[in-house]
Amino acid sequence: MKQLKNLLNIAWLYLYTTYKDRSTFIWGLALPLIFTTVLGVGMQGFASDDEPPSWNIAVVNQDAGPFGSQLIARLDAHPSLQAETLSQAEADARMEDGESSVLLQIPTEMSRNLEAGQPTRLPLLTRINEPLSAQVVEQAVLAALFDVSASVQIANTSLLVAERMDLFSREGAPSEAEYLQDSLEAAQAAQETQPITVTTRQLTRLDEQTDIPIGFTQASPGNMVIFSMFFIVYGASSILLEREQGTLRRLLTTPASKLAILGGKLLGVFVAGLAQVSLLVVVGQVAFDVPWGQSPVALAAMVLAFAFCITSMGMLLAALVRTYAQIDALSMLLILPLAGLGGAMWPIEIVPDFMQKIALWLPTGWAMRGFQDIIIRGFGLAEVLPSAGMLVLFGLAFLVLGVWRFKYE
Amino acid sequence: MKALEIAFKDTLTRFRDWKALVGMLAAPLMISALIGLAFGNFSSDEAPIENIRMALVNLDDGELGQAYEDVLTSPDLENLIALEISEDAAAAKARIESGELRAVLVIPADFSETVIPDGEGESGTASVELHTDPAASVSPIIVKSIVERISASINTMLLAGSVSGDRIAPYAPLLGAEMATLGEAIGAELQSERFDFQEPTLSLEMIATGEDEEPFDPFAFFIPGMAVFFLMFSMFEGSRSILQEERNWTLQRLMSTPTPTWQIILGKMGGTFLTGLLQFIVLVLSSALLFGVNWGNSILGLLIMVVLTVFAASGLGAMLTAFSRNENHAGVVGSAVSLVFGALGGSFFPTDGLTGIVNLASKLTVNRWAMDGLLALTVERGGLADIQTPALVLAVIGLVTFGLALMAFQKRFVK
Repeated sequence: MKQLKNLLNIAWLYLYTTYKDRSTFIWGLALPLIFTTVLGVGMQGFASDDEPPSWNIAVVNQDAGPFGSQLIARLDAHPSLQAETLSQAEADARMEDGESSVLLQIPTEMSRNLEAGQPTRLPLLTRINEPLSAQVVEQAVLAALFDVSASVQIANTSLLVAERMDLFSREGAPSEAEYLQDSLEAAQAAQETQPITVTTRQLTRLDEQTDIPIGFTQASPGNMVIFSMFFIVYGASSILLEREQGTLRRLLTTPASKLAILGGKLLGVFVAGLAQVSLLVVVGQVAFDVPWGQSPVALAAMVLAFAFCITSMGMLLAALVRTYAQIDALSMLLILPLAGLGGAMWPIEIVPDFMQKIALWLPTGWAMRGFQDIIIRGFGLAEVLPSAGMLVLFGLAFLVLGVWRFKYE
Repeated sequence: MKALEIAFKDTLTRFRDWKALVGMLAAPLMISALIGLAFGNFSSDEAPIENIRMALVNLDDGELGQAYEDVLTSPDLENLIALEISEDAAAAKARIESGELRAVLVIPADFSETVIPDGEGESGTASVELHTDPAASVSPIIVKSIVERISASINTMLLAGSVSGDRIAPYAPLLGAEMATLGEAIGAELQSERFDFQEPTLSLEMIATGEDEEPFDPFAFFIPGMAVFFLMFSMFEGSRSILQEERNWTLQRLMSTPTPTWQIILGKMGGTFLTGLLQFIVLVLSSALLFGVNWGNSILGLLIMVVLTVFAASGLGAMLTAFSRNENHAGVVGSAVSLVFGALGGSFFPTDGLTGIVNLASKLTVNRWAMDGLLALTVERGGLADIQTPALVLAVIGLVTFGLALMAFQKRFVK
């Protein structure tokens, strides 16, 4: 009982000294806020929410017929494209300067060929150093081309069927041109009701589509993970500072047991870590509308597991190095790669497969997965338990190793 | 000159400290390597997104459901789509939630039967369901476009059949017995090559431009970014050593020697500058050797940018240190400024998209001007003319901050 009191006293002392220091608020609040804001805005291109990212496409329309402008209208209606019609010279200049990364040229004969059922190839110019834009725009333009060619193809088929049945040689039959024109109008009317529609749904359990500002679903949990790691790891390893300054030795001369001293310190760090993580969660919800609060129980499980895991990681680090100065040097080398590989710095979707697999071997990978499962997929406790469980397992392994290897003197 | 001696000694001390070397050289190189691996797909002309994992749940027994499978497994999409066939929609959707799949396409039961006209020409409408991963932002857009394209092709075919039938119906009296061959005629036309999904009437001719430019090289962006980011840390750390020496009384001892105070201060500040210069040069050389980074075609331009970036960063470090209350205060301020400048100044992502107040704040950082100049050389392969503005701004920042630091240190130490 007495040892428990010692442990709690030591934890309280850690919390008191930590929050007395004003720099705690700089590291714990101001910097994560600035990073989240800047990176949230900066990562617009990789946003994952109800407003998908869009790509600009420059279009040069040389087509004299009606289908060129129809195609432009289709492109413009695409939720991921913004089409801008330019003269050839303007478009060339844009491509040259790098202001546009994709240029579609609609050739003069497109409408004529389309009406004649002749194939046409439209040049789509892309910049070699912007392959992602090229890839996305190519598929979107192909879909628009299908849409535009559909009515002509339908009308032409109608004409060819009539020809095949020898309609036009009969008395009282309309001319081919007249028949084609009527078929075109019928085709356009028929297209109002497409036999097949595509219903696209994001597979999320969120009650309603939340209006999350672009990029923050990545930046909010990502920066929370990164800054909490710095905060907690530095906190846990500050026990080395106590060892160097002799205060740990002084503590050891008191009736407090080694376990109470170490436990108290770690408890203090864990509680401060919890406060830090919770604060950034609240800020994410309030300032950036990130839906952290969908499942408070799931969130609590993830926050507890994450704070425990990182506190233990700090303990292990403190056990493996000799001086606090070494922690100072190594923490950057440890935390930033862990954050990058785990998907806290950029969306894990855009990295190669093997790197996505590496994330599953890292606590940061499981932390990001669990937190994003809550805010993006709308998961509850049962679904995030595997992620929280992995963090606890990592934490236990780090803690056992750390306590075992730690040298008090 | 004593100032030079002090500067050399400080630089040597710093380069003999492995902990300092970790922050100055190992960390930026390691993080750049990581970023290079992560964004490696964005270099060369390879498609950055490939093998999008998706499942097809085809509950339809007819030919149209099969048409989706045929297109999704066609050679054209071989590298883009990694298709799995599943019979259980719920299980497939659960695999989106577990992060294993990016999309699931469900073709409902009796799909073909519903949309293909029956013997009396009657048909209905149906919808294919595409479920996408909300945690992904790019691959669902690509998959959606492909599914819409396949659907548009089938719609065209179906509508071509029905419009052909509807249009000719009024002429049945003229055609007489020939009307009996209508179904056959429509069938023959629909089987023509015009309805080959792989050979559409309108297609794209993909032309990659800018072959004369280097493909996007993630290292060419991120190495300068990380170099400037970690330079800021070491410049603040270096300046802070003056206060460390003050705490350890070695500075006071040095000041008791005949060496003038201004020379001592200049030597300490010069040491930080020299350290930064060497750090940057080693990073340039090692990144060129390790990662093949091309630092541009203008060696003089690069030299100017490196010298002025280090000048501005070390000046800022010295100024903030000179105005700090003590060593700890300087440490906190230095780290905070380094991190904020890194985020705002474009060390982590291109600043092209920044607008308004964030863009303005970005332009107040050393990192932004350093990155503007360095990227003009590495990414845009520019020359001296392209770095004039950033170089000038960095020079002004350096002169002002160095000047202020020198005055503040003089005032602080000359008692």
